[in-house]
Amino acid sequence: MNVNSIERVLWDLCSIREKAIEFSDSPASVLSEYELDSESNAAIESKNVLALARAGVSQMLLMLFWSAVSGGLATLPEYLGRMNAK
Amino acid sequence: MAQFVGGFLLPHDPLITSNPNAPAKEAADAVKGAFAQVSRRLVEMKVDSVIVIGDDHYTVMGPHCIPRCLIAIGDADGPVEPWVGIPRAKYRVDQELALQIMNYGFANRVDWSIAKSITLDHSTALPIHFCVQPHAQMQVVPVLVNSGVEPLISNTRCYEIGQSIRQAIEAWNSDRRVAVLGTGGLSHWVGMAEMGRVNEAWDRMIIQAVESGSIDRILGLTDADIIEQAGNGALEIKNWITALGMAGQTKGRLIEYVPVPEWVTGCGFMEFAA
Repeated sequence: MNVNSIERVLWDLCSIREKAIEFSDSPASVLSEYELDSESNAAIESKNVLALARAGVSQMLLMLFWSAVSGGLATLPEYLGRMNAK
Repeated sequence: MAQFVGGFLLPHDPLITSNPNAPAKEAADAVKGAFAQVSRRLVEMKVDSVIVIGDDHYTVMGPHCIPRCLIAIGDADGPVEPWVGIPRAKYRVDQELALQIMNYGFANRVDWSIAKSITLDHSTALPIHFCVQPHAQMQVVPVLVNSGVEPLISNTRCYEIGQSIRQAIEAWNSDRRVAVLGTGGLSHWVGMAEMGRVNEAWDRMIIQAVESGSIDRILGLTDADIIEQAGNGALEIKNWITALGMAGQTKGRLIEYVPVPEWVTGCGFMEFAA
């Protein structure tokens, strides 16, 4: 996984509201705009925050990404559940 | 000449305003009271301008540009995040002081990144909201050091930047009185699996080091150790170090410390003399 490329995608999703909405409806469509490797693509599309964290992606950014595409800060318990998955 | 009159270390946790009723009332009141005390002290110290040292949370800057140290010299407002729960406001930036710090730095090996116009995040916006904005004549100079996004600035460099800011103030032909707010921390795990944990022992170790003037103890902490013991958010003690660099060999006084798991951090407030 290319952390720099991933962080660009996540940051776009955090900072461009329309893109976050589009991602919620059709993540594959949004991700097709970027040239990511298949592993990175799959991890973002499935919101596999644990895998992304283990790859070295900023965990602060991961939380913001999750919040932007999953319904806001109220959904953080699910985010933390994923981060703590065995 | 302008005078540096002292400083404060305090949290900038956005949950304080976005989720104010999460903790027990006693804890929330203690934190609010500590902010009020800092605000009052700035007035008592007859402060004209406050340097507010924060950090970006991947909200103001993106992967296209991650400044190690940035100073706002023109227009500034905030917070950029609508969910923080405080109204977006325009700040009274002391542009003369900001330019003095910038130019002094350029002449003395601090290559500041410059914001001519910036919308800040909660790290500076929240302390400004509580401590500076209520005083109509008081101005600010927002400064960001990169304690939030890798690659991180070093502790030592933060201290040196603080020293440069102090020297810039003292080289400034002005009668203004300047204070500093070093914001952030203490232990918190932002977006990490442990988020919600507070390491009170680590927090009190930092507070004790500031109380005893043992800045070397803090400077000697590695980033890896900080993250291991106190989470990625605790790297914000680099903001504290920058502020302490302005004072040199000073000893801090504890105003308040409240561990608040509901706000995912230990909230420490300290004052130190110039």
